[in-house]
Amino acid sequence: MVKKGIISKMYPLTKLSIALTIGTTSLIVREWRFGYIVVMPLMLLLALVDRRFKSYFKKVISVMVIFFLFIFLIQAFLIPSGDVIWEWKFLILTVGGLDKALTITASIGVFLTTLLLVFETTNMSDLMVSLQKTGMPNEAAYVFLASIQMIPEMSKRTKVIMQAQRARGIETEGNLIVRTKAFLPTLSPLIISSITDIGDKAATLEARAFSSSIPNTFLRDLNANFIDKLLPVIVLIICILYILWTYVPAIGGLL
Amino acid sequence: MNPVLEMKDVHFKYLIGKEKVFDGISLKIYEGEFVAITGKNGSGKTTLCNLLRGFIPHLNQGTLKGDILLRGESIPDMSLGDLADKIGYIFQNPFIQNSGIKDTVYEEIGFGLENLGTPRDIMIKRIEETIKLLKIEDLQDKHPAELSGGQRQRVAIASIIAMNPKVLIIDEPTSQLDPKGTEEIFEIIKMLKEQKKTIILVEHKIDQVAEYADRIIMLNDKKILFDGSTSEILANEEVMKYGTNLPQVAKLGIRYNKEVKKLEKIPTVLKEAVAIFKG
Repeated sequence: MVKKGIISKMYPLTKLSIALTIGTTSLIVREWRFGYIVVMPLMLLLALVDRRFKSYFKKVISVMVIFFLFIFLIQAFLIPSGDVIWEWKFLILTVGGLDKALTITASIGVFLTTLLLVFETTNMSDLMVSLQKTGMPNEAAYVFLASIQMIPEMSKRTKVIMQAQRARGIETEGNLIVRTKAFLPTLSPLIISSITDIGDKAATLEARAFSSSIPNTFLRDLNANFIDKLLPVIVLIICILYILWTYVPAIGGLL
Repeated sequence: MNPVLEMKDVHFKYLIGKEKVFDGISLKIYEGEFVAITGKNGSGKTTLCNLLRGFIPHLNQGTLKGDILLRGESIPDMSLGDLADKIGYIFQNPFIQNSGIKDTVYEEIGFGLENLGTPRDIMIKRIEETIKLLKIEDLQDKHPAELSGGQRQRVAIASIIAMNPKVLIIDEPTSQLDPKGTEEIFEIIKMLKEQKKTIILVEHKIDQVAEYADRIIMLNDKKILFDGSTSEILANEEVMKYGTNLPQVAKLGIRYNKEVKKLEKIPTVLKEAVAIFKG
C-alpha cells in the first residue's frame, strides 16, 4: 500500500469542517481574489504535498470544464454593467459582468476545490465513522455509503438487463431514436428489481442486528489527536478575522 | 427440558395471499437439535423460517394467530434488533447477503458486531476466530461484492457466526451453488453441529440431510405432515408422495426389502448401506 500523505492522515471531520469554514467564508466576503489567488492554489499545493495531485487535478478540471465555465460565461456576458472591456457581435464583456462572474465562480470554486480535496484524501467509511461518533444516526451513514457502492452494482445490472432485452429482440444500439426507444424496457426492470431487492436487503440488515438499540462500536480505529482538534479552531479564527478585516472598513471601522 | 423454539397452533396468512400458508402447526425444537425442514415448493418452508426469526410479522405483514416462542418469550413481541444475536439467519440468495457498505470481507464480518456494540478488541478477536474457523483467510481482504456465489455464502455464514447466536436458521444455503460450493457449506454446517448449535435447515439435497440432520419436519398442505427422527422418516416410502425425494440408498433398501428379503433397518446414508449389504 502507498504511504499516506499528511492530508490523508488527518482526521476526516477536521478536514470537512475546515473545508466548510473556508467555503462559508468565501461566500461571506464575496472577494474573487480570496478564491482564485489564495484558496485554489493552496488546495493544489496541498494535493501536491499529499502526492495525489494528478488524480485530484483531473477531477477539479473535469468538474470545472463542465459547469464552471458555463456559469462564468453566462454571468460575464448576460448582465452587462459598467465599462465595456471587449466586444464581438452580440457578446459584450463589461467590468461589472466580469467582476460578478469572478465573484460567483470564486465562491463555487472554493467549495469545489476544498471539498474535492476532502473526498480525494478521505476514505468514505472513515468519514462516516467520524460523523457517527459525533452523533449522526446509523441509518444516515448507511444510506450514504450504500449509495456509493450501489452505483457500480447498478451499472453491472443495467448491462445484464440490456443483454436480456437484446435477447428478446429489443434494439439497444443504433441512432438516437432507437436508443431512446430502448430506454424504457431497460430502465423499468432496473427500477422494479431494485425495489423488490429492498425487502431482502432489509431482512439481511436485520439479520446483522442493524436496528439493535445498543450504540454502535466501530472496527475502524479513528481518533482525533490534539492537532486535529486545534486546526479547525485556528482556521475558524483566521477566517473570522479575515471577514472582520473586509467588513469593518465598510462600516467605518478600524482599518 | 424446555424447548428453545416452540410454535403453538400457529395460523398464518400473508397480507396479499388468498389462502392461509399455515393452518394450525405446532412444534418444539430443543437445545442442540439439528432439524431439517422439507416439503415441496410452496409448502411454506421459508415462511416457517421467517416466523421463527421474527421477520414475520416485523418485515412481512399478515394475519398471525398462535404463539411463537424463543425460550418461552414471544418472538413477535421482541424487537428484530434484539433477536439478531440470539437467532442467526442465513438466506438462500448469496448475492443479497452483504451489507453493501463494507470494503473488505474482514470488515463485512465485523458489521453485525459493530451494530451489537461489541468492544473493538473483542470484535477483532471474534472476526479473526471466525475467519480461521471457516478457513476464509484467502478472502478476508477482498471486496464482498466481487466474490463468487459460494464464497459469498461462506462470508454470509461467517458474518452471522461472528455474532455467536445459539440458534441458526439456514434457508436453502446451497440452492444456487455448485457441488464444490455445496460441499464447503456442509462442512461448515457439520462444524456448527459439533459446536452444539441448534440448527434449523431447509434443504432439498436429501443425501446431505440424511447425513447431518437428527430430525426431519415435513410440511405439506398448510400442516406438518411428518415430524420424526431422520432415520425413521427417510425410510418411509410415503414421503416420496409429497414431493420429497429419498436418498438413493434408502430407495435401494426399500426395494430390497420388498423384492429380496426383509431388512432389519432401511439404510439412509451410504455408510449404513455398506454395512448392511456386506452383512
